Amino acid sequence: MTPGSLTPLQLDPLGGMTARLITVSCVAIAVIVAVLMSVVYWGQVSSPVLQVLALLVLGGACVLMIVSTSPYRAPLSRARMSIIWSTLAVATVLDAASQWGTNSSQRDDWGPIAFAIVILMSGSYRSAREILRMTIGATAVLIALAAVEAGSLRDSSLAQYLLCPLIVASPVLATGVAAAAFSRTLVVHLLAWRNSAASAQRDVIDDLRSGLVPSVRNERVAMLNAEVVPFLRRVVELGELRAEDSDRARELAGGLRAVMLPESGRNWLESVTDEVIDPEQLAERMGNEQRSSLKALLAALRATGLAADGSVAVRVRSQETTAHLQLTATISEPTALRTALAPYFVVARSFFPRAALEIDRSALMLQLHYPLG
Amino acid sequence: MLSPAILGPTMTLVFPAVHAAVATREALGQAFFWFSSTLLATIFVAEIVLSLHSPGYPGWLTLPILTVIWITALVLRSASGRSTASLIVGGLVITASVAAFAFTLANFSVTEGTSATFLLTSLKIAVTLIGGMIDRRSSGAVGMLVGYVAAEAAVIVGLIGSSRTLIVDIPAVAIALGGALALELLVISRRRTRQVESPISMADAIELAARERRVLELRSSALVHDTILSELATLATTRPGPLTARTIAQIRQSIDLVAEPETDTPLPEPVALTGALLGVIERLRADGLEVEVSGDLRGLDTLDSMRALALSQAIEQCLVNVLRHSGVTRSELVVFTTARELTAMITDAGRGFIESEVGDDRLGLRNSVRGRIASVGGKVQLWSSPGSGTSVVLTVPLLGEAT
Repeated sequence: MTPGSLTPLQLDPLGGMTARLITVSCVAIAVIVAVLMSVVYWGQVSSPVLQVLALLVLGGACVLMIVSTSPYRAPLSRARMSIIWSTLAVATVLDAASQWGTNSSQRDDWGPIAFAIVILMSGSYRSAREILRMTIGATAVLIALAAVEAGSLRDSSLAQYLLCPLIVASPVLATGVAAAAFSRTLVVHLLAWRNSAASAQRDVIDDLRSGLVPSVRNERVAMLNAEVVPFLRRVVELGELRAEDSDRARELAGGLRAVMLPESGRNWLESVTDEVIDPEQLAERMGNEQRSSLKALLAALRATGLAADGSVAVRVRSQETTAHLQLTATISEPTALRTALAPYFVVARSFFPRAALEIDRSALMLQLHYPLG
Repeated sequence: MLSPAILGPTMTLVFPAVHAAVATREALGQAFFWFSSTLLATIFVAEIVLSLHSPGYPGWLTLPILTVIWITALVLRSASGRSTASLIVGGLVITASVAAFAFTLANFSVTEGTSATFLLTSLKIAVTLIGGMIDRRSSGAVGMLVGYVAAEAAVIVGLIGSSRTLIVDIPAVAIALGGALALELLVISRRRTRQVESPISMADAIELAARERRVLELRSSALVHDTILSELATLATTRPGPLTARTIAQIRQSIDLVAEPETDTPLPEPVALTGALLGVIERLRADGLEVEVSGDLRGLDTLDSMRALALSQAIEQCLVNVLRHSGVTRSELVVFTTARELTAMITDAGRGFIESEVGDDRLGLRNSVRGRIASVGGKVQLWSSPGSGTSVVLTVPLLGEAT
């Protein structure tokens, strides 16, 4: 994978949330600009039906953009982005068609401007290569449209006729190229950070191990030195087994197993939830990042104080080669909770192949799927 | 143990706010440069079109001006163009060039109406964005506004004395104000979103520490099982009387082993482990278990030391289980390697068992086999039923980082 083919969201899921505010603002501005220009230049409209249709199609593209960039939905996919760009192209064509034969200047058309404003934030969501491909496609459509429309302009001079394609295509072309440059630069930085962070983490793990090894060894020695090792030493020094020693050995083995059992049999989910049903011990097979991000989300849920005491329950079951985790909780103030958990969910979602978080008035349900490698 | 606060900055779940700010600023700089470059290229092409359309059109004057603006922007984008002196000189060159372009357009061009407005508006937007690009001290908003004001002023100066009327350039103003506002919103939004960086990094650090402890405890538990618990089990089933020299030596070795930290001494080379495993097989043969080895046991040599150690210990424990619990004296060990993993299969035709019915306190399979193999990223599959023997398949990846 090269920086041009990766999306910033793949490496930094929170980036999409940062861009979300601007994306929504851009979409709102695009609609306002389109409606205002439509009203101001209404005199150039020959087909009001097509003009209204163009505005509705633009509205559809904008709604799709807002819905698709929601933190609670899957990251904006290539297919969705293509649909959004195609819908914007259709709106632009309809806008031009509605002014056929009565348009004084293409500079007054809202189509290319609204198109450019909506795609402005594409660089935060999709890869540079993909944006460039879509930009080239959109530019080709707009140039063709301008060339066809130029002949029908009401006040067309030759110069304006020649400049039409540039005027129509330049907003989308410039915005698309800029969005691709933004995406690529961000990905290059993210990859560099990932590499340096991974290297630093290896050093931290080495330090951590060197501190933990003596600690674990001391705990083991303390556990065994209490009774077991003295017993074995005595048997070795004596060189023979007395009649009562076999029973004593059995008793010590049973005691040792009982001490070792609670830790080895404990499900880590028990420390972060109130009830765990995981008969197949599937939680143990969750990846490191998956586990950390889920723990962070659960800690955030606790920190809000909006989950009822004792209500956070988790059930994990397997379905062929996939584990399916379902977490439920009784909650209050769903709107506040949704806002508080959004960034944590966005991070967790990036590490699970499938994830969904539903929050209604009194209940929360988190569903996570992960492969059983 | 290190505190999460120390571990935090190295965690990799979330792009840290400080890096995000720098990366976004750099990405915006590139976006602004390419946006303005595209606009300058558009004007350039328009000027060529107009020159071809009107033979008297002074393209030979405006094209060099556009080239100067673009080269200056290119220099200001580079590392050498970031000094205050470069910014001042570059800013003046661009402003003067815009004035010269407007003057040329007003006095020598036949271009009128929409075309002239398009060219001037595009140029003003390009310079506004160059302003945003070179402003590396704020969000870029100040640079955009300064860039717009400079471009607008330059156009006004350039048009002095011409017959062209000055009107408010709504698209250029909208882009300058809207762009500056968007940049400020981006800073606010980033600050708000990245608030979760600290708790997520904290959770990651705690998880990392817990994971490392869990792995070490698991190894410790497996060691105790394979040594001390094994000796106690032997003694529990041995008749009273003198112990053999071999039993005494075995107990002494076990006592010494559990007193050592697991990783204080360097891990043995896989080759040595392979030899040790062959020794274990010989010992088990002496105890009455015939182990038939097929495939390539030397495949262990292709693993790193951590994986080879875990696998050889797990194989040993499986064979010990056959000797103790299967009721047969024959077992088969098959080892084979693929491009991505090494697999060891231990089978016997003994009495078999149902895993879910094995007591919770039986730690051999759970810790000494499953735990060990899981700790190096491998997996264990077990087929067994009463009366039809047991097969255990241990698979360990050849590549990737072992815990």
